[in-house]
Amino acid sequence: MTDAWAELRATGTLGPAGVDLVYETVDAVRRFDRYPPPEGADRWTEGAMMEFAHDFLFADGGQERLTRLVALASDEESFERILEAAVRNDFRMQARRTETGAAMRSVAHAVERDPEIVAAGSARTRTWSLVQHAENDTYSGPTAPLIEAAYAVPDVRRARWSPESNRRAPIAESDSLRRVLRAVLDRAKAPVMPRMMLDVILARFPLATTREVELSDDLLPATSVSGEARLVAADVWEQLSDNERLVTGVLDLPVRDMAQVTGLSRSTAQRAATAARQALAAFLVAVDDPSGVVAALAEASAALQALGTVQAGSASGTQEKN
Amino acid sequence: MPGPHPTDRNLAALIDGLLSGDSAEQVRSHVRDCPRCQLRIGASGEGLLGDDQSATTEPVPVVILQESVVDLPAPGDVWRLTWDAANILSVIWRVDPDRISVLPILDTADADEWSALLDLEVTGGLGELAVSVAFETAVPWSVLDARVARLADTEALTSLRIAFRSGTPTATRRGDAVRSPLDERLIGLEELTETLSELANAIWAPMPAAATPMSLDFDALIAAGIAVNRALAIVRGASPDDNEADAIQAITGVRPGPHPVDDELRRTIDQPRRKAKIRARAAGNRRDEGSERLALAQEAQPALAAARGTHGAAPDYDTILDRLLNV
Repeated sequence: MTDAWAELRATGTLGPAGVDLVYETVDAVRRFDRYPPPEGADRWTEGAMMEFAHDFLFADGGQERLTRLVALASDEESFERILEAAVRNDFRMQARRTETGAAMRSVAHAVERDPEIVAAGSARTRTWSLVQHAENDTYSGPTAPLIEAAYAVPDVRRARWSPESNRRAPIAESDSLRRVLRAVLDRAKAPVMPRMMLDVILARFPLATTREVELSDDLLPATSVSGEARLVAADVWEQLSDNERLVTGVLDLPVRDMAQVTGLSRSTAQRAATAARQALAAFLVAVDDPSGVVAALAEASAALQALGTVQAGSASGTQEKN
Repeated sequence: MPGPHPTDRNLAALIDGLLSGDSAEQVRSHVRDCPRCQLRIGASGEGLLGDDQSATTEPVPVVILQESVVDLPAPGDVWRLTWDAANILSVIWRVDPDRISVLPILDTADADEWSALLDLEVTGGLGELAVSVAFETAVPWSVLDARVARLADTEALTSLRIAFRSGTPTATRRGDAVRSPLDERLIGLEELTETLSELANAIWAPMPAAATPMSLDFDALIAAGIAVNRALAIVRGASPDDNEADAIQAITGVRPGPHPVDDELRRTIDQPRRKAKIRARAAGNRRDEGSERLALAQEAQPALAAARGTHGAAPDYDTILDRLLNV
């Protein structure tokens, strides 16, 4: 138990104990609800957690929210519970606006339309399972076997998507996503919580949360690249964000040079390079001609660089244009 | 399952070994018996990566609304409703002698199409509020804790409430409809339902089984060896203590229990202005609120019996209870 409530009532301010309570609560909620790290980061850091907490306290409506929390609480324990509920709601509101939130909605939508999959439990304890496993205890094992099962599904096709579309790209073609979901639930042989399923799906489709643009022939000439490598490269290209495409051809350069060549800021180039390397690693591991694929990607990337920076996100999330 | 679930913060502290002796044991013992918390711990994500952030935050000023406790809530008031660990802010909609009809306030993140979104200009300092008309609930007086604000205008609520009940169109600003059983708002709405259910069913602890009303005759009590003044008090409604009950049981063959609580006493105890002190007593005595109210009623019996006097005059319930609660 903290003294945050007593401190608040006595001083009319959320002092050190209160701010610590907010930090700890944000950290606990993101940890147990498994919210993904902020955009551009590959894991949660103290700084990211504090930034979220500061947004919670100081963003528009933050003052009134604190006033409501105080009005609702009647002691230390209730204040802690009410604060946690408010932080959880803030995470939910932000998740709705993010790509991950959209991915969750896509998965939920696919589950909803699949007669082989049943949802059980209340809203708070929701699980999904195949009909034949619905009576088993909820799956609480590691996610790795489930991810393996997701990768083992053959002929998974990603949806092609137009850059002009105002809507987000689907995670995959609906039949492919349905087969992956069923395979995961079949491996679990038990009901799976939606948040865990999302983890598995995002691991299987690591770029499901980035905007996808069709690769045009102008950007991917077939010179000196085999037909198969070109097809694979097209698939990879489809999964890359604009910035990742820009850096794909210069991944061997130091960040400073990479930034200069692409016109991106250094931090943006660094993030894009990290993401692009991860994507390439995932794709190239099962390819016969990885150098051909890389060559095709490098050509496409160079062509894109020649057109100038498309949209380079800065570290603060605002957009800059070259 | 013992008590409410620990907060995520406490679960995290347990995992990280940051809880001390009693607190750790309390949380651990809950988790041992609670599949939900076991699952939650099993699914927890990784800890934070330190990145040498040494930023400090200045104290954050918070507007604390002036709370007041009045004996009679009025429609349009925003009250805090509390019962044990359940609490919620609600708009008072109708006041009846036995129950209060309330419209619960929910987080704007959970607002559905039957939740009116009230502008901050009308909410008395509480900011933008979502108030549900679909979850209108009748609660007992005992859950009224404190009045925290008053709505400047309830027209939007009236309009949406009519629309909900009769299907007439409304111009009230409201949330989007929930169209899927997988909508995340259902989590919040389900929690709201549970909280409202706890508040609506906030009842006193039941009288012990032996509390069947017994007609005790003064002469029989004297024959049982009860002192004259106590025999008089028991005939007028005081509860026998354990020794007296033993003696009565020996003579009559039936053990008398505590005297049933009369309605007037119950209503007096349930007045909102006594809520805070009763909760404080309950916390001190490690009882739930329902048990504390019953215990308070039983403690009041001797004083009530004495106050009734020989002629059975109406006792001053307020004075007797205030005296007990101010000890």
